[in-house]
Amino acid sequence: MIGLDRHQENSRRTPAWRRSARIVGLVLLAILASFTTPSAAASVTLKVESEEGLPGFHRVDLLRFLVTQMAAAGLADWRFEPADNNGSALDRVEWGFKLNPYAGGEVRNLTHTLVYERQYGVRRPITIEVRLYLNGQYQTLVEKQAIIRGGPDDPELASVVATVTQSLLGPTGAYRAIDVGQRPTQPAR
Amino acid sequence: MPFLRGALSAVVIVAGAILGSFGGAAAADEALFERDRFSGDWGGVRKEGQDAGIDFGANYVAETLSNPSGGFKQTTIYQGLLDVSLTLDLGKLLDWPDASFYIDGYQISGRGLSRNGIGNLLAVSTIEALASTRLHDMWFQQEFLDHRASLRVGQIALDDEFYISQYSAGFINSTFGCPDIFSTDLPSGGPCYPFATPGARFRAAPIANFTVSAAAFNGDPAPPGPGDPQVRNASGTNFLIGQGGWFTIAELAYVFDEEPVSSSHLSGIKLGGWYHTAAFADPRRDTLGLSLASPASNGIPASHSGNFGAYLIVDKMLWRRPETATQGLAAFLRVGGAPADRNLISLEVDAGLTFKGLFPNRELDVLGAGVSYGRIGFARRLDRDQVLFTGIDRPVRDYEAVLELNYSARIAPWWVLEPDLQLVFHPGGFTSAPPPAPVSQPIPNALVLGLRSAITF
Repeated sequence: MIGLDRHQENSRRTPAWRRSARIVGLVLLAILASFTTPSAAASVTLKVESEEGLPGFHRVDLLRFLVTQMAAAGLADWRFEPADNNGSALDRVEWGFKLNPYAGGEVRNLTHTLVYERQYGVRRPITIEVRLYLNGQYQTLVEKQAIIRGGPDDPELASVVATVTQSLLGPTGAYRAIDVGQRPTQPAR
Repeated sequence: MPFLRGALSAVVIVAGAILGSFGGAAAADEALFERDRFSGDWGGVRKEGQDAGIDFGANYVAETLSNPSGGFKQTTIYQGLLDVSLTLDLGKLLDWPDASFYIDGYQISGRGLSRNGIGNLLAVSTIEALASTRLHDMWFQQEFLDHRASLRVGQIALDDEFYISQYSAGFINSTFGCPDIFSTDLPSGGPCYPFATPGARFRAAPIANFTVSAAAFNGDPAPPGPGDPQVRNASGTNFLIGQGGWFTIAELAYVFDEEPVSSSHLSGIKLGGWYHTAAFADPRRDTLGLSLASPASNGIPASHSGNFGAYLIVDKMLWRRPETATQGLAAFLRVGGAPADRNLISLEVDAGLTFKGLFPNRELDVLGAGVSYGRIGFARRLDRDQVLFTGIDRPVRDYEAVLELNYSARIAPWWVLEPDLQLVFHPGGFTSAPPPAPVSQPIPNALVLGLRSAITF
């Protein structure tokens, strides 16, 4: 009897422990869920912005190009759309482009190509800076230098946009590094 | 008759371009008038080559020019220039980072109007040269310090990178390209079109918008001897080193206005200086210090050790149409000087205005008006001496000037048509017309009408 009583007592106590464990677990889950990454939840749509332009693009075309190449990075947890206005979206990625000083030089041009077009055709070093904002809060940035020709047909530009997107939002990217309390595994260059 | 021949040549240029375009359309992979280049992407071969580090280029410039009045003879000419180039990206081809190789050659046809009809110094066309097939540039370039510096070594042309105004480059008169103060004063015209010569160029961009360039060239692109230097170096393959001394040049460039979206340079200033180590003959005095026109002269010009000069170039966007990258009104000014005691032209001033996108739906067309003034150095004193000593009245050289009106019509990304008008004042600096004209008669001021077609293949 004693053994049975003990068993019964144990069996009576067990549901109470389980209930407590469940409650604690749910609370913890709720707390954790509020901090968890979007990768563990549904995909997040980021608006893509660029305050500065890039040689070879009109602004609207640039945003479309960036969205296409960011999608090509193959990150299932993130979706990208061109922003209507800069700085208005809570969840957004801001792209910045800065042409570096360049001393590569020229050759004589007999067809009098206009300056804008001449620059467009030259491979130039550029610094790309991408900032991530979620819920209106700045999260992190990735900076990269590249050599590009510019324009929508430049495979190197397309490649570097996809690479920077991976560096920012990919499984080993800067944003995930924040999430696990580490610095980015890939240097920002 | 000259007008008729000019019109005929113009028709040939336009018809040739149009017929040629239909020929190329067969291989079209995109609309003919929307391609960047006339021959398109060669079914993807061109892009594959570029991705692999091999880039072919070809331009053909054809023009007809006529001087219905003025000059020493009224005539109409046709001139053509085919420029074929190859650029190798050695980083892609040989895994040699930031290194490149460039070579280009010219096939020049026809005859020049300045040489055959006007007799002026500021040649009326940037492509005027003796008919020939010649090597132009052939150089290796290494970039370093994150592309902020580069060293170029090989056969190089001065007018690739130096003394260039971005707003004057669209004019047809040659002085708006390589300035006459170089092509007239330097031995054999210096390393300017159609010449390139062995040399080395260093360029650095230490901070944004600021560039410093310096170069050293072989002093004379043609070997010594009688006759035209373009005949003495007929193929561009002499590869002379140390011939006729050395020509050195340095230039500082600062861009002070940049369009924010496209990063196009809108306004900038350049300051340059040059030095040539060869000996230069005095245009007036002999070795005894007497005028070369004097009967007591020994006829041997005094020699000056070295030659030098300085220049200033200002490009300024005066008004930019809102929400456009480069459309609007722009101005340029180029001023260059050299000692009058050893140079035929001692001062050159070029100035002009251009308006891009003046007419609706013609956003890439450029209307331009430019003037160039070249002052004759102490050669004018020799002319005065000649009048004094001989007692024969003859023109005294003072200056030559050109006024040019040009409209550059972008028919397609690969095709530009340019109707052009030039007025040449004091051809040859106000020199005597060739026989049988009397020596007292200067070459009359000339009117030049022309049409140029430039196609990028």
